[in-house]
Amino acid sequence: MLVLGIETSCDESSAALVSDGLETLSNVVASQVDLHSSYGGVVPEIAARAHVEALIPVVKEALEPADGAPELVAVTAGPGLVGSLAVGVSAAKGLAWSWGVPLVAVNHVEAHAFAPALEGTLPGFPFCALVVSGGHTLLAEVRGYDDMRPVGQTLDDALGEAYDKVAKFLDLGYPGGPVIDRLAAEGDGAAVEFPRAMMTSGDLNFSLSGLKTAVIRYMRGAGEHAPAVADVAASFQEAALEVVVKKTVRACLELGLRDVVMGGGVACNRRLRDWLGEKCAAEGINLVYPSPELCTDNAAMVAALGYRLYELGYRAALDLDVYTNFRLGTDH
Amino acid sequence: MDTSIKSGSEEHTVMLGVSIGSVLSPGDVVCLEGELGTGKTVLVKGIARGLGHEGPVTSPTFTIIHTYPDARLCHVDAYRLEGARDLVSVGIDDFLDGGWVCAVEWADRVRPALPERALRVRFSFGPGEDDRVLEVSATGEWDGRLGALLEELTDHGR
Repeated sequence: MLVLGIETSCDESSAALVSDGLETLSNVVASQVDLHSSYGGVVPEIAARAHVEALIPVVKEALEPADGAPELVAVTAGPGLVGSLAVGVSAAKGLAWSWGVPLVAVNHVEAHAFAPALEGTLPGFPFCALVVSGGHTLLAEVRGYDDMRPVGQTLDDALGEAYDKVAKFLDLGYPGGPVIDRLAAEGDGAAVEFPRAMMTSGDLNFSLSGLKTAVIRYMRGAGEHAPAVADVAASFQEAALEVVVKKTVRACLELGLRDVVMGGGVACNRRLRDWLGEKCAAEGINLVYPSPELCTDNAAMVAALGYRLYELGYRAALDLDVYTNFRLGTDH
Repeated sequence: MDTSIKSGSEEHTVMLGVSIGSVLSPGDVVCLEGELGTGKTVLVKGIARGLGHEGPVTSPTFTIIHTYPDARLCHVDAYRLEGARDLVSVGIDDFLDGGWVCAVEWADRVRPALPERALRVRFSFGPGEDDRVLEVSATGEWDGRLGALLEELTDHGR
């Protein structure tokens, strides 16, 4: 079955053509990062307008490998920026209606957890999912394509948000993740001892807002005597990631899960990949993450999960609405 | 006239938020201003609790607007917005219709999109690592609710 996926929850206008939830025929992404970088983040008004301009050409290009019309349209209905989501959902409704094919609503965060299906590396159920991005920081137990239960999440800032805010404070640019990761590789992660929040909380939740504040307080206090920015970046990254790595491993051990799927933009972070890989290997846990282009926001993962949900009997009506708040498993 | 209140910890700021939340009612707007890390989101955690919300309150930086229907609270973060027009374009007017309490972080960036009548809290760092100073003021008509609130906050802020 040929599925068109559409994703416009945040920065990326993306459309993809996926066959049977497994084979990617096209995965076109128009990023707005350049538009946004001067503001240190996503400006929703610009985001919605840019999606409107980019989406039709992106869909056209994605459809090029198709012989006829797709047999299903899958679209991200949330969570994300409301105006941006509305652009994708409206386009998806229009296409599904005009082609006379069914529509399926996909949760963006859930789609990240199933992205490895497109590379043949999705583990069998149940598995542990770690989704880390600019808007989300979540640990979940995944028991099926329509059964993802959160077991831990951030109580304040998302991991990628902490990177963005610290990068902006240090004048490093946007997005903050790649630039801090690159800089940290040259720095000393033990230069500054930043707090590891929630490490001993006894649960699987995260808190990252205090770390951001600690970096700001430290830099203000240090003034001219501050260490090299690479050392500060590395020390921040060590503090941020240590809790994520340890809690992910703990989630697997507590829930008896032998596989972890990591997704979301921060899953591209080299230090996180290496560190989590090492700790998982030590416990005999299999760590899976897709290629960078399937970690960041993309429509192929939306088409892939949309196909599975369709097979399970889910359909969305043409009055499908978008939602902005985080939630799982309630919107198929 | 500004009332200056000192907070000595995150928990303290949450408690100040609970006091504020417990006197707010739908239609009220709280403007939160101050640099990164001064406790704006922390205060909103308290405001949400004061309004009756149970459960986490997370940063709305990514999606700009978070809603907590159980508390009729709309939590807005204008950190990534360029101006008032952006806030209108994400649909803030739907929450300014009198049915919600709106707590707006970085409100100074989008002030023209918000009603004139508002409670304003300005945050700054205090001398100690966990110290914060909250300057509370109000514009517009507050039906005497404000006097009692400021008195209570001043008591908590010692």
